[in-house]
Amino acid sequence: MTQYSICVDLNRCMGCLACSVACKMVNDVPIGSFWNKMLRIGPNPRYEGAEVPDVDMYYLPVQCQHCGNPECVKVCPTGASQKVADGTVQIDKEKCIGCQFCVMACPYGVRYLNADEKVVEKCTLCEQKTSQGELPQCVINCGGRARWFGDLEKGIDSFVAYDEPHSVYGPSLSYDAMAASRVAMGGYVNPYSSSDVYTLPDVGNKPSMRYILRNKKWQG
Amino acid sequence: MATQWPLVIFTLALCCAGGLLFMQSLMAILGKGSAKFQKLAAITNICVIVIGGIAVFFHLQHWERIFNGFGHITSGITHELIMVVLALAILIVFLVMLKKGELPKWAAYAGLVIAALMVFVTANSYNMAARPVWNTFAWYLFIFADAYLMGAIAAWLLGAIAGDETKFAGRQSFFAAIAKAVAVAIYTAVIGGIKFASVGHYFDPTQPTKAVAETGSYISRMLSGDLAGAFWAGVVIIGIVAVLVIAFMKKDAEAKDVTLWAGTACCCAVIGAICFRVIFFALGSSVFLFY
Repeated sequence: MTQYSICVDLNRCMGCLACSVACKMVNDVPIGSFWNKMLRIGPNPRYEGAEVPDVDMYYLPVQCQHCGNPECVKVCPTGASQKVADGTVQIDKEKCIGCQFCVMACPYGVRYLNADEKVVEKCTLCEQKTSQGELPQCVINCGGRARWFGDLEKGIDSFVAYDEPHSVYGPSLSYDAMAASRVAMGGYVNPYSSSDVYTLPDVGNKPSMRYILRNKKWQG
Repeated sequence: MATQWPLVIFTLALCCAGGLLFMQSLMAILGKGSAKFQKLAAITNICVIVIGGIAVFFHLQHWERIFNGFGHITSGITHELIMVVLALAILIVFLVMLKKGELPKWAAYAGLVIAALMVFVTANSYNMAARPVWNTFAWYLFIFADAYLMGAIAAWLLGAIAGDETKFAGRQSFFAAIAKAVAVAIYTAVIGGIKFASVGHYFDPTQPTKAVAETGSYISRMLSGDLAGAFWAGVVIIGIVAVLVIAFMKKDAEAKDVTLWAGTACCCAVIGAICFRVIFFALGSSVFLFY
């Protein structure tokens, strides 16, 4: 079974907010709603009793975790929230009655009521793009190449992002060639071990997003 | 989380209706309460359920789509709808049977079961792992005690209005007030052990040290913080102590002396129940705190 997901290498994320802005632009996310939002974690002491400058911090981008066992789907009275074949959780807006129980049931606060349409919305993992073989906009626009998209069932090493421009230099260099280029995360980012891979707090919902954090204490 | 007033009224109505249905069924089984009381209780109960039903529609953004696939069986809202329909059905059966004569025992036993299930699904709808203060057995205890109290006092008041002997319902009101005091104490003790860790800060250069959310002890908010007024004045003094005193003083009084006091106790119980629900929503933070 497919489980589309995003893995973020937090050691590469510089908190530029390009992912948040890209998401807003491509999905027309209303003011005050954040389908993809950024937390600043820290500064935290590097060791017990440490003071400035012996502190470190990281940025934590958070969006719908497209859970394996989504609580939002369970509590939806109309089946508007549903887990689809690619493993993502999607909302059928035509069915949503705006009861907002999914908002209450989500542990991550990533569902928002669209006051104009009176339905609940959230990250779709850019289904409109991924269903055509493209990448989610937040992955495309990530300035640090920290965000990677793929099928969790195939392992996060197989996750991909756009390749670097020099890979398509030459006569074939074009927007289309760039958009078609892919590089796998496994051979690109710095080495990591399984103990460097984290998820957000799991209360039985099995979040599918993955975060890599090396040499820092995970606080997420 | 902001107070969801339609849900406050809806859960209040379901608890009140469940409690009253339980009490009138129990009294029918025990051979207490006249047909007049039973009719009055059934009609009042239907009115309470209808008020709750109207209130909950104000929570829905697209109520006109309610039949657009409504009925996903794992949803708490679906469970509530099923139980509301069953409760209305058994109350109509009650009225039909009472028109013919006495309420049969089988209908009363069915009423007991439906009442208990309705109160259970009301509590269960808000039992969410994402919200630690909601995700506790103490919430179920509270809702059952709340329903018991409101049902007992409503039966006490309606019995007095019907001119019945009211000692049974009066004593039940007293026991229910004690049960609610215990349930509130247990709930307070349970959430006293829940603390949230700060996980980050707003990504906002103008507020570089502002915490994402209040991460202090939730019990301190309830006992001495911004929710202390609602808790001490609303839940404890009005909702429990006042009811307990009235029920203790008047539990064995004659029907003609009970109406005013039972009515006062009923209002107090409702105020206490509303205040507790306001606190419940205010404390309903997610397990993972951010904006």
